[in-house]
Amino acid sequence: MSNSLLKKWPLFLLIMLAVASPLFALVLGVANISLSDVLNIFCAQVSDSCEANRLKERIVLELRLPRIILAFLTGAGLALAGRVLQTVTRNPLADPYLFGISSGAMFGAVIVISLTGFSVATQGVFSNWAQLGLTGGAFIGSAFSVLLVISMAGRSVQIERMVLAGVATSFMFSAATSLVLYASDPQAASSLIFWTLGSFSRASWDTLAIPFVVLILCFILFSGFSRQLTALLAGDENARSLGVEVQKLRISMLLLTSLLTAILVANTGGIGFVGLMIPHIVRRLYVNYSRHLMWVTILFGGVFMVWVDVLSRSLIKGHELPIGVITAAFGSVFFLLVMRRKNWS
Amino acid sequence: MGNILSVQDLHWSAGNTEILSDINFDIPEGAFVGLIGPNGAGKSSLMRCLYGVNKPSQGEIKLYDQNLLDLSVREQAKKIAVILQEHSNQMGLNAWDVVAQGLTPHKGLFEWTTKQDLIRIDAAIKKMDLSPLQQQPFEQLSGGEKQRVMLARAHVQSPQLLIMDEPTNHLDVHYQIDMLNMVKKMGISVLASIHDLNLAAAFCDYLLVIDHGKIVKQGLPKDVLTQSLIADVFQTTVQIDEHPFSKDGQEKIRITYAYDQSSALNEKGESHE
Repeated sequence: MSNSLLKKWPLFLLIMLAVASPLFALVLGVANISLSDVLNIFCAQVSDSCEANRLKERIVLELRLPRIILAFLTGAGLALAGRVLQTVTRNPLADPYLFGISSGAMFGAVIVISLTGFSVATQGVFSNWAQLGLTGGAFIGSAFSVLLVISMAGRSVQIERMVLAGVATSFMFSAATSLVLYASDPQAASSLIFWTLGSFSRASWDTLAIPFVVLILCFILFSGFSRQLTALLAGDENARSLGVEVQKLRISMLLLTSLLTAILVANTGGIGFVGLMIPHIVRRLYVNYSRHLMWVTILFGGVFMVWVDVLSRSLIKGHELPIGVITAAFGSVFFLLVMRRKNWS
Repeated sequence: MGNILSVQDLHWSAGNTEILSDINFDIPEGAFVGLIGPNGAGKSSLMRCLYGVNKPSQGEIKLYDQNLLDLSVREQAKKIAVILQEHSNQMGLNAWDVVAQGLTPHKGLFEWTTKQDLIRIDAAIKKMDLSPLQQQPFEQLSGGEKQRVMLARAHVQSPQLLIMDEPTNHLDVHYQIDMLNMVKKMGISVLASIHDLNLAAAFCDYLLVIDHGKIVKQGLPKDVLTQSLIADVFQTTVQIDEHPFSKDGQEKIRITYAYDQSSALNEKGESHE
């Protein structure tokens, strides 16, 4: 292997993890399914020479695989949204929660659920129309948050004002969501609360297409704008002197991240800390790979969320923990530990 | 030698307050032009008009024959590079990444970095003696090193004009001289605001003096930096003589500041009597 390829071992390690993690996650669960069973099931899909147990095949292909793909897409998407938000605001604490995007999306989704009847949230799998309505509601909520934050940020879209407006917007929508939950009947409310804490339990092949397409589109667009986004890190005046139309870029990137977040929230509920934590870890671990940070962030976020999902299914036997609880626990402890280190700035 | 930049009858107001008025000057091609003036005279406001952040309320800024305000932000950036006095910490980017930012105006969306671009970046890094520092996080560099990174970035941007807002601020004597020598070595037209009058006299081909938002004098340093102008604009008593390191034909001047201004003024008054 040439020297330059050897230097890229952290990138290869991540790619290997991104391939291996979903495979191992398919093995882990209540039903006893081995790695060879999993490989056999995949082999049976492409060749008649392999034969798989029907029950295990259903568990792997219809329950675990879509769930793991949704977990990967969610982790990847939230990490990407966090990274772009941190870049456009030059604020290492920025994530979809800080700008009210997540809480706006959550409020929009909860309103749609309450208008269409709480059964959609409690019965597990949504119809395609209900799913589309939920996604639309979440996007309208998150876009409204972003527009509110931008309108409060002044004509020059000042970052400090944006952050303050984002915090206020986030609290406003969280309060409104709580009010809707408070007013709903207790049984539906408890299911909704579980959903708002984040869950992949509603994953099915039908629900994967929209998050997948939106994530890929956002990734392509963010990659296309990566040079302009990097220039923003130099400061607004510097970025302008490098040929970047700062306000237009900032607003369009905020709207794109709100779309991405809304799609994920509509499918999985509220999952915090990923958008904040993963870009931080990636910046630290891959400091000399700045040209690759966009896809590294995506893979890292995806791998992280696959393992969080494994933990949520396996920490308490026969019971599923909300995803948002695990990510928040990880995130908060991670930050406290890292901040204890002297060289953290 | 033609002019790269011509500013005619420029006015700029912040809200209802006129900050700049009747600004007229030219920057000759390849010249190092210094902008001097007391704090709050309008140096930064004028420079921000030239790199497009402040929109003039009146007047014209011409880059060769093109009206600067008619150019898109990207076209402006291809022609004018800017080095500001304060730097963002660049959120973990290393020196190489910051130098590579100079490619931004030359690349469209989805236009990736080519081998030629990499050669251009490496050449700029070598020219500014940054090779050992290129993988260091930008935020961990010293003030002088950061300025060199910015110069390398401007080199990659390959502009026709370089604008620098107090480039020697916060730098020690060694880095001040080092920085200005490197700028000279780039061989492009430069407009720099400079606080240190001796540095301005030593390095600039021409000087513009701004006071209360107006250009009050412009020309060669030895003609501009007179005792009476410095007394009027900076309220400072000075003595001016030939620079001891001035080479033949350079006519460089040295300015010595009176450290006790009140007694210096008295002495001056007495000598007039």
